[in-house]
Amino acid sequence: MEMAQPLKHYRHQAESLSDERRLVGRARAGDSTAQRTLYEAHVDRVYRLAYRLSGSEELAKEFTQDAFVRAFERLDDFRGDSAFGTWLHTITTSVTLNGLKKNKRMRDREAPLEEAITLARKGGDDFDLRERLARAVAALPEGCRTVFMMHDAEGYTHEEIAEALGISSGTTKTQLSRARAKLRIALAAFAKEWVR
Amino acid sequence: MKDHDDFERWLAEAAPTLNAPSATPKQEMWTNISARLEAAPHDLSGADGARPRGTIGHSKRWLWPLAVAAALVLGAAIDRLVLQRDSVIDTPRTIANVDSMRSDSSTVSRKNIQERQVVTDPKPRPRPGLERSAAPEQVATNIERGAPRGEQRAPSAVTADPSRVGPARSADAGANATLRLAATQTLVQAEMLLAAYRADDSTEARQLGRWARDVLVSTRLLLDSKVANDVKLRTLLQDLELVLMQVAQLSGAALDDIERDLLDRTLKDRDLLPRIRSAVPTGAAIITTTSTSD
Repeated sequence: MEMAQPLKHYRHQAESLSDERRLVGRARAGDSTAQRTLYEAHVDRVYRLAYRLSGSEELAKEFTQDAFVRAFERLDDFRGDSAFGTWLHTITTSVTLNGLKKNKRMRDREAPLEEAITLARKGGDDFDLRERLARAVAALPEGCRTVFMMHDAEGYTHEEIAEALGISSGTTKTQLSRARAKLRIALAAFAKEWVR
Repeated sequence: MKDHDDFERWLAEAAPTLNAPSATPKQEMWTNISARLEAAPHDLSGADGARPRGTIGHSKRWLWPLAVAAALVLGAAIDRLVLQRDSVIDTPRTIANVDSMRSDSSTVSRKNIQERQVVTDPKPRPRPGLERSAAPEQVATNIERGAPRGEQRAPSAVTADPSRVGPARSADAGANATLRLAATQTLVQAEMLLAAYRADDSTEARQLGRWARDVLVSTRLLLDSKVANDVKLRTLLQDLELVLMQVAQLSGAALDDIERDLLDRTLKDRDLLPRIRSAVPTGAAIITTTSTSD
């Protein structure tokens, strides 16, 4: 009886995978219903990732749309070695990081406005500390920041991050450690507050 | 260590609140995505279900060949322009070379030279007295090379290509040669004028002024002509014009010390006389003498 549950789970996974491949095949042929189904299945996570990395609703929408359009245009490149979701997240991180580079100047200019909105919305005792954290995260090197946001903020595993970024999971672990160490140093003045 | 754990715990709580996304605007984004996909339906699927190809890939594939083709066309255009300009400049020199070869070289047959001359020089030949002495085209050559007076150019191979010399270009070459002849004569006159001035004959001041006015007119006409396209010749004529204007203002019976000082300084600063001498080819003085005696 105990073995029945995992078997059922694997069978369900296999069926899902098989369904996904069929969907991908139909989407590749231009079936808009299949495309919509794939979109509905993955859009939340893609949007969340884009939002986490960009910190802007407008940019998150733009990057999400770009990622899906690019994925549907390049469905031929998807060989099915990994899950469609993993492949899509690789595209999403690539589109988002490249988009952020392009929008860096614009983001710098808009930072005060974004900051003002954020300040107005937030509150609480540890408001200063969280604000400090946000700034410290923004100041992290790109690799560290991406891994930190994907792992600590969005809950991706190291394997998922490694596949999405095209690096080894050892590297992602190192980058996460560095990111946390840097944040710890940056927020050292607030040590008493996180002890509370 | 405890502090470290506290920080990790606090960070684990705080991190998910960073850039926390709002509700996903699914419908809005899907509308845009489907519109973009419809805008390029051929990119997603061919009519025969063949592999879809991205438009970006297509355009990039043609980018390099197009760039190479554009560069080739541009290069050919520049080459044609340069060749055209060179042929216009080269034609008079070729005539000069033929002339010098005719007088100096015994290895090239006279008939051969005449045949080439028919192609390269359709204008009437100069008078016999002038033909042998000064090659007006050599003025420009001497200026370009900075060759001292009396130094004859070594006869070089005749490079005229009959196919490249059209009637219009030949007519241009003829006009240029005439202008260069006028330039030579003006420079010779100027040289003689300046030599007379330096002879220190103070009683000739008024006469010198009159003479300078005549040469000044020729100089100004030359500056307005095609000859002035030659940068070095133009500079020389401009400097000469300045000196001639100073000489032309001499109206007294005798040369004033101040006037002489100014003139001397200008002549020295501009190094005018040596430049004129190096620009005027050998035998130019004979032309003037011959033409004046005619």
